[in-house]
Amino acid sequence: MMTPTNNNPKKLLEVTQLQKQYTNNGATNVIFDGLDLTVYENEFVAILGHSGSGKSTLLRMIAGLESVSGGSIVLEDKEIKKPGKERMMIFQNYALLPWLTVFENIKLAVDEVMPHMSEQQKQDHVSEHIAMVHLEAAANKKPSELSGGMKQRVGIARALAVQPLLLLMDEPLGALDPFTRAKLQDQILELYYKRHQTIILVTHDVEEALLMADRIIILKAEEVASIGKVIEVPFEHPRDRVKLREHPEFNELKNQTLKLMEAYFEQMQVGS
Amino acid sequence: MKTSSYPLSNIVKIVFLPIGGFALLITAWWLTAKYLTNLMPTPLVALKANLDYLSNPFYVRGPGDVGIGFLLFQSLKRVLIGFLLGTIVAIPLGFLIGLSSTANRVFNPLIQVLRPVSPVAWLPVALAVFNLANPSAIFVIFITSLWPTVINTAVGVGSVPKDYLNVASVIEMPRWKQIFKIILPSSLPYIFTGLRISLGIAWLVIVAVEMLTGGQGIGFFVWDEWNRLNLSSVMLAIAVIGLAGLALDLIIRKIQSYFKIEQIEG
Repeated sequence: MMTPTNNNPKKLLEVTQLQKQYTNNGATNVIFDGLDLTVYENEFVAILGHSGSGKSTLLRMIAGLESVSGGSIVLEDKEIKKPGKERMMIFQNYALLPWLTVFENIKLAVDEVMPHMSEQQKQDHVSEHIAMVHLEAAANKKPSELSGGMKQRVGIARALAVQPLLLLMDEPLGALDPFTRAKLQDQILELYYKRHQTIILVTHDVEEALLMADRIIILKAEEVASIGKVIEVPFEHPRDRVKLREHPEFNELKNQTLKLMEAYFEQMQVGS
Repeated sequence: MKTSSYPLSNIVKIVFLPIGGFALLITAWWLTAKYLTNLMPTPLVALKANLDYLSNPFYVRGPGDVGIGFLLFQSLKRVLIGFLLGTIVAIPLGFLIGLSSTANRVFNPLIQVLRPVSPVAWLPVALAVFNLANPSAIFVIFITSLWPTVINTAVGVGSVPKDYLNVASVIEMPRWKQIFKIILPSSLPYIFTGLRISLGIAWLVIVAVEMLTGGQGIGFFVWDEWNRLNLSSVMLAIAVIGLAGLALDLIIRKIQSYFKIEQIEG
């Protein structure tokens, strides 16, 4: 676990002078113009921003699903050019294949990523990850038979079954009701503790970011998107949602962050 | 009171209303035969005249005199061979067009021009090449079966949700494997829509083709019986063609449901 006192952490991901622009009908639209970001091993980083702040674009570039216009993204000394299994993604819309069962959805990924395993080992590996998100009873169900929260647990199990170096989450809980959301936040944190997984979470929910992350990168979008502020979250893991909410420092930080986000939102309105 | 009236209204809906539709048609036929033309038999006369066909559908009394079931079988055989050949070409072609913008530029204008052409117009071309009626009829059905399947397959391949392909590329699934594991299952509903339309049109077209080529088949039977001024048999043939078409559609829908395609994603 990364805590602010932890010295000498190992760099896992380095984003240097990142540029991104789209050309649309001859007009060039610059999203990023020289963004720097470092993510350390075992760190839980949240990227916080409004819609249109470029946070999803940044995550998709790290995933390799979106091309980079300039600068570099380097993961463990290897420059990222295309998608890869060491950077597994969890999608907001779950991205489960509707014609496959829960088991088969995860198996599809395991088959691709772990070809060296025997069939039995693969099946055990899948079952183990289904158990990890407590979906044993739904293993043979199709996604259409599951609730949103269950679907996203399948997404999480699939992503972790691949054993990525870096887990990327693109507003994974955005489509869920508040209570399911809270439950899944706790489950994700639990997995984070258990697996020492490095995670980048994209969200627009201040409380979610404060509750889960070690460090919060707040993006602001003026003419181009840039890092507005970095918050080192001072709370020790494992965190308890109920206790944190009663913590004066937590509420103070939450209010400050919300104010900052509101200010960024105003700037965006002026800019556009 | 209300609950007890539901089953009755359901019986009316499911049984009596459809019967009413057929009754309307038969009445119109009967009135036409009775008052407008002396060529057309009334439904009752037609039924009596067709008793032999109905009770012995598979008789063979000579090369030109065979039962209607046998004729139907001949037509179905042509349609199925042509349809299968067409499908074998159309699905891969649809994939190619859906996957490659180059292929799309090459084939799309060609398809747009050829699609509105009545497949029967290909018959002289086929006759010139094959010199035989039967392969020519099959060729026309082959052409008929191409367009709806090609177009629907291409649309299906083009509308695979981006998320599915993103998942595939994140787990580094090779492109050829994506075609079979992601794109094919995802576009199956579109492909089946194309197949159903193709088979439906093929069944329409075979009647016209057989009228032109002659030989054994339900289409030529219609034309031949008209030439003998035997409209009773023509009416029978119309009913048989309609029921056979319905059966073909039911079969393909059964196959479709066998694949248990679930596309609904929340």
